[in-house]
Amino acid sequence: MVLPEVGLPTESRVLRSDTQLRYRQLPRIGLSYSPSARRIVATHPNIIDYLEVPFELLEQNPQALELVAGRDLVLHCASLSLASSRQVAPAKLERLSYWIEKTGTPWLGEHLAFISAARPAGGGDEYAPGEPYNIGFTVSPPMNTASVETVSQNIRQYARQLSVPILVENSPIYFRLPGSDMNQIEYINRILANCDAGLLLDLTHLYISAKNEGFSVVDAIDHLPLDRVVEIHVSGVEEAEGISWDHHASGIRSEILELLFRLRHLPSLKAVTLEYNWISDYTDDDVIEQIMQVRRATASI
Amino acid sequence: MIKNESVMSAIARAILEPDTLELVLSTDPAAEAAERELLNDKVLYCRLRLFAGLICRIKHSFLWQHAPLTMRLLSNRGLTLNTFANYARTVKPHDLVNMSPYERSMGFLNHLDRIINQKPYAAGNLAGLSGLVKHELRSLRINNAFRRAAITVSSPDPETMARLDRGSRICLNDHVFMAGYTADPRLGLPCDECNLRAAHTFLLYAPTAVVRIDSSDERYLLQQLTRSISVNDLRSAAAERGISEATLKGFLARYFVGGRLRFHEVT
Repeated sequence: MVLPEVGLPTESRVLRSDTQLRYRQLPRIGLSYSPSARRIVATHPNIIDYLEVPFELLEQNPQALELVAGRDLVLHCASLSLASSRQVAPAKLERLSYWIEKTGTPWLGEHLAFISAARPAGGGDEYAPGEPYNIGFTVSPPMNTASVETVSQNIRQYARQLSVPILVENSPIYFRLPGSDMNQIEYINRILANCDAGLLLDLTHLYISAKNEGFSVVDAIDHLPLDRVVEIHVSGVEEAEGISWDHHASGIRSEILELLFRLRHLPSLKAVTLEYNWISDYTDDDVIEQIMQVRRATASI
Repeated sequence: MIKNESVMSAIARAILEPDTLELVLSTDPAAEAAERELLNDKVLYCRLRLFAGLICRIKHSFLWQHAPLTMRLLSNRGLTLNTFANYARTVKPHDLVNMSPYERSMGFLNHLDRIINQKPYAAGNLAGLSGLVKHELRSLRINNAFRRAAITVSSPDPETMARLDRGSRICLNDHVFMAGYTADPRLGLPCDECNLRAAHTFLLYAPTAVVRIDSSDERYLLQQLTRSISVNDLRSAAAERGISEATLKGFLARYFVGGRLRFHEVT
């Protein structure tokens, strides 16, 4: 297997903060928080190096932090709605700052997406009049120059207010939105050229986008700013109704493990997170097997 | 050129309020251009419907604990996403936020129970899905009722599940009942729910246990016990006067080791 050529690391804030990161040369292996993850770390304390916890979970259930006391944590977020022109409330940013300090996370991962959107005139909600729509799930936005500007501006704004670097995560593309005039790779490149953020490369999302959009995932990776990749996500894929879907309860495809193997020596890569946080019939043993596969692919065993 | 904010609003509305969106577009000529463009793109609109199903499914992931057999069957037949896409149109996301995992699961299973005789569920190898769904609805309801009773009733004896009433009939309250099926639904295969006379497999539902009744004598006893399930809402069952308390106790004790079922006499 041939490693893709990568550029030299840039002088980004992510890289300058390297000394703050408690990570070794090899990427550390983490698992997203779930009841299953809690059981796994209780019975196999050393099988992973950190847990990834969602900001939204900590807000709803602060006791979750006590259940993982003593573990290294990475904070993940789905609330900033980076593609929305309306910025999040200062109170929410304060809460985010609080959890950043509390967890000691080395960075904040956030989706390159929107989760909220303004209501059209007259589109009231009997429960929340005047409030924007809250989809409750991140959605890949229209990809065009205006969106690049909005996202970059939001990242710059939030980065000034948060004490750790922001990593932006590529979303899976299930449908192309009206107004899009560039592909996701160009979109990511232009955003990262415009602001000082790292890349959280979700290999499964990229694989899904490639399948749904009909492009080569290998070519796409070769055109990404790989020197900015700090964290990688992997999980399963499900095929349904002629579309590939993100699936946090099935095995990582061999093609995705091969991509991970190719990328394991990226200069800024610090962490690889397995996202297995759905309740399902996927057993703890199944997840453990996936962890071992990722460890093998990153040559950390 | 449609603004990004308008597109994102239209997408959010198509996911959260598809019925309202369709109504607005069919009645309001001045509706947002982004929404009109969205609805005219059939491929996109179809994918948005499925995406709403994906979100709905993830918000119902507790079903894997509450109704694993139903979920596995839907998954094995490739029906999960479409089923949740249909269900997503019937539940308001705001309501979901305020529902407990149990309420979400019950809502979905009741929905499935209602539509089970329609395509594609009634066709081919899913013809008997109905019994399986009913089985898991019963198991979920009975265990939740038991948990709730144990938590909210200040009784020092939450395990009391049966009693003798004033009429000297032996009654089981709504925590214990029996149902008949063409096959054991716990095997994960579709099965039909039948009336007791035609059933091949009888399951006794009680808190923390679902027990298969194999002996014909026991079955007769339970038929007597559960005679009322054919005429009422399954919430109670009663034995005929001729059955002695000792017989009933002896029978139930074999299935409920550890004294989970106890009898109180009402004088």
